Amino acid sequence: MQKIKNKITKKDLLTGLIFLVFAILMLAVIIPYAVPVSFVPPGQISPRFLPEVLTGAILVFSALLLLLPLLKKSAPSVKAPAAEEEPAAENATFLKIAPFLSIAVIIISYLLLVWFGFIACSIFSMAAIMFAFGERNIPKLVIVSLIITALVWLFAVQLLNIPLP
Amino acid sequence: MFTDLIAGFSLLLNWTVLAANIIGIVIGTIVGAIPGLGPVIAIAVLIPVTFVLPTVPAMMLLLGVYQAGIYGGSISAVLFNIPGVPAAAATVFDGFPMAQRGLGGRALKIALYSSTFGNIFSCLVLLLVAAPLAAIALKFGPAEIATLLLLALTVISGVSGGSMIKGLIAGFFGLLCSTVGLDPIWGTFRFTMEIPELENGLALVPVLIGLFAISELLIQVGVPDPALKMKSTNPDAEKQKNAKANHVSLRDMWKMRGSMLYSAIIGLSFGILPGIGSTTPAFMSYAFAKQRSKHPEKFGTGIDEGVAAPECANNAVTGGALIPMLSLGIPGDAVTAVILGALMLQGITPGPFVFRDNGVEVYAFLIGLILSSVPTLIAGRIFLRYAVKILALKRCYIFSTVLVMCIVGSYSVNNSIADVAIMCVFGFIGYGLRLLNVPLPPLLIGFVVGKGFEEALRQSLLVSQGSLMIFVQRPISAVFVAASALVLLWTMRSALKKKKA
Repeated sequence: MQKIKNKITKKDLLTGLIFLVFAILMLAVIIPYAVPVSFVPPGQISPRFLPEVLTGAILVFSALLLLLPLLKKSAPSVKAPAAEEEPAAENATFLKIAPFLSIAVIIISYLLLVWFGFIACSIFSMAAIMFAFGERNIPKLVIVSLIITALVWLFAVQLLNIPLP
Repeated sequence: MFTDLIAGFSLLLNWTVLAANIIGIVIGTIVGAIPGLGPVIAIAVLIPVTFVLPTVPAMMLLLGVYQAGIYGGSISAVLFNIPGVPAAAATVFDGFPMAQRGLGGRALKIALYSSTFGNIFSCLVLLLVAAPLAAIALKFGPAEIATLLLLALTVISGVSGGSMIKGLIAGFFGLLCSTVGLDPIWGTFRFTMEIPELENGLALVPVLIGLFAISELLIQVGVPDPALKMKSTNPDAEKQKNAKANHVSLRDMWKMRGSMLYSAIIGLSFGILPGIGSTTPAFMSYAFAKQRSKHPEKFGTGIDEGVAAPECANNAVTGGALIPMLSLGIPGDAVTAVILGALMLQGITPGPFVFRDNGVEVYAFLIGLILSSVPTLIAGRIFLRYAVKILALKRCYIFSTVLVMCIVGSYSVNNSIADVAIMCVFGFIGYGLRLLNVPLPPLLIGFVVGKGFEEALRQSLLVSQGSLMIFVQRPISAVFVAASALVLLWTMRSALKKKKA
């Protein structure tokens, strides 16, 4: 339980740190570069006004998130989220890497969509995601991917008139 | 009002409306029952389908998913001890013990009937309250609208789960995301990085699909399959055949009228408040029913009231949550934010003007919501027979299909591959934020109301020549500012207290 509490405190600190860096980068680099301002008459609001105010608020609250743990010594008592439960030992390692594998699958699927179109993207992404979810029966992977791709293509292109790439 | 009401009703007299609603109810029941999926993902994926439908059938499809999705969550809660949606968590306490005693069918019927009651009750109140509330809101100027949106966002960020500060950060980040694209007054591009697809801003559908569906996929792939657990706790099929014990009569339901009415009121009240969602009122109504029961010790052992109370409350939230969404344009949770987005894509802008500009269509939805209880009851009864088989579907098939549907859904909004990229980026952002326990609803709601907030804020500042005093000089707006400050202070104090405890 103590381990979980520490993890949650770490999560708070990490959130604070990430958003603090994000806010500083936004204010110092991104907003000046990505929101061009020419002439703003007096009394008028610049296009940078709201992004700067919102980023300022993010900066303040992320700093607060970093400072709050300093106000006390003991860890906060927060319930552990369900997703934090220890997975079964036999597939624990795979479960840990599966989200990262899926992120890679999603990126590759996007590239396949750009280069080869929907059908290649769909067949690959379905088979790869099924694999990531633990399906190891290759004929099933292939058959289900082909059938669902065909059905989705028919539904989208023929029924909804979506011109899939 | 009555002319619009009758005209709205006549719009419902069309087979496409009924067909769309039934499809929505069936999909909603299934996705609600499958742990990990839920109405938000289903509605997000179905939005492209609404492009080919007229407004009323399109919205009845989505509202059918919304209504049935909450009820669907009770099916896996009763049969497998796993709530399909968080709102059904309290149903587990008595629903699952009933299923273990061979009364799963009875528990599911009680859940269905009490859900229907909660739904009809809240939708009737919605029908009566939404238009007068919108009429009051019509008197609001840009300063009032800006401060009201700020208040709503503050409340949502504070109560939507997890740390309040994280909720606020998420809300501000959502607002920041809404500033991408053309500046509404000066016409300059913001954060477009010379990418033409970003000039009109980030599209809602890829953002919400990414935030909720893709992040859910990434979360689910890293946890063991609950279907494995389901098999071990599946109630004995032979016991289920005990037809007499599983029969629920009108008299049985009448005995629980008090609990159901209180639960419906609790659900409705919490539904109106932004950000609380369906889970808290379900637990509260369960506790309340237990407190006023003559046999509180029986709660948790598998009694009818223990299922009826939370199910009635979590479904009553539906109508309640739609009240501020329709009348004020403020979505109280992620589902209503998605529905608000879908309405806007259909050319209907929820808010004070909605009853003036689209009164007929809105009344059609409201009457449709009440009438759709009938197909929900029928579909719910039919679904009970096949629930076990559907719920035994492997996650690998469900989520791989969801991914492909997400790609199609994101692409179809503007027929643009860039939207698929946006979906992927927001999927990864959503996953990262969920790992850090940052709540996503404030982010989505901030994004959805962002444009309206900026418009109102800048109009106010144009009127006041840039002076922020306009927000405290106008009485209603000053009340909203004060309320926002109070909410902020109260939640900050709670956060500090919690840390010191």
